[in-house]
Amino acid sequence: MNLLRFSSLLIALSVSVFITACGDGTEKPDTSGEVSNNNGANNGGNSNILKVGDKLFNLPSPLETAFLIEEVGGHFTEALLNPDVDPTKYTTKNAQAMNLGVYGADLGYSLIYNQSQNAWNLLETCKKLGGEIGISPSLYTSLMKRFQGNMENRDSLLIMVSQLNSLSDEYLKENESEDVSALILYGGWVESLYFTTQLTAQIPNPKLRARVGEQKNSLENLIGLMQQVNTGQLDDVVSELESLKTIFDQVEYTYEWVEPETNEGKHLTIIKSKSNVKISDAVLKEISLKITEIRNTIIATTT
Amino acid sequence: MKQLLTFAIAAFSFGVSFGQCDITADVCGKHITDDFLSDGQHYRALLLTDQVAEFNATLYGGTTYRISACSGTQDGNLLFRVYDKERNLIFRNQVHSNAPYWDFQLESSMDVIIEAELDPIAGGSGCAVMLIGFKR
Repeated sequence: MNLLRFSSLLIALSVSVFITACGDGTEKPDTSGEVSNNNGANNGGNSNILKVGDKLFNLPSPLETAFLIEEVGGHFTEALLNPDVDPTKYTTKNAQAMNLGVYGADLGYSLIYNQSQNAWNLLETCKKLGGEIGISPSLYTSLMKRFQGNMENRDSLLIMVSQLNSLSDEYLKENESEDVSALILYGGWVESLYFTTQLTAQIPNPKLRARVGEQKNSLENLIGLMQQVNTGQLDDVVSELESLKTIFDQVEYTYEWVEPETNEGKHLTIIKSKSNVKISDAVLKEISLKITEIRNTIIATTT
Repeated sequence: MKQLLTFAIAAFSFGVSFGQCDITADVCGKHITDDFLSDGQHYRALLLTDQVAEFNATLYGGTTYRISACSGTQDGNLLFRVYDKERNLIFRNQVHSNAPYWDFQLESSMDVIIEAELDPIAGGSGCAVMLIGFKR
């Protein structure tokens, strides 16, 4: 009897903990035959392969793009930033999350060019929007204190901002706000691609041009991510991205495997495989127009 | 009854493991040192002993990335392998003493698949965390 009571208690406790950890604990069918749950992990079905959150999507950091822009000789252009500095106009969670992503990319771009006062203002804007969507204000408060003491140290500021992004993402995922996290990534990705396409018109650099074409795979990841978190409220976002994908489908991508070299002592592997991206002027222009349209929709979305 | 008890213990362990993700993230985060910038994303999965998590990532040519992969409260509990999209093996940490992090220098941009699983020696279930940083 005691064993029965103990078992019942243990089961109740276990189920309770499990449900708490996994959101509502419901499972949804996956077209791949796998089963997912809300904690972001799938049961592997026959293959024993877990795809995190159905699929795991790594999107390039806006900071990576900003570094590339600096590398190819781009100058800081304030006109590229979201001109609206009043975050209170964004009143819904979706608008706030998307624009937090946009402002985050603007922040990274400003930091790369040592526009520390501009970056500070953007950080305050991010703090307000972050608070609205449930990111703990303490994350920002702590960062902003350190930021003030390092205004002239670009490297330190970049480390702080990248840490903030990581902590925010972790915080949102811990609090089962995967959709908010995805919308922030979406806003940041769109803003970064907007920067890159705008600059390709001014700087005829092959690396910049290739970076646009390389977003073909990232776009597929992004569409999958948005579809995963969409319960109907993001149909417009998914539709816009699919429309963009029809243009990206015209980008040619080739790949050739080459054996990598690993240096045990340096904890380093040099990946020597070769890839190439071909993108015509016409396709580049189409992408530029479409991403501008999407970006302008995001920053104009208030509700 | 025995099956129910087994299920209960497994479910309880799984729940506890999920809670340990924060600790694992701290363990993992220390490998993204100051010469790397985090990509701002936080990847995690709950794993049982025989399960494999699959991560997909796009890495850019001319950049050096650090992949940090951890489980539990100490280094070396997670096995990870990196493949290209054609499933050519690029790296596996098992032949490098289960190294908790590794750097990858890219000559060209490419998509990679990263598989992660618990080291059977460590046993049980656990939270797998992966972080990616890029060199400035």
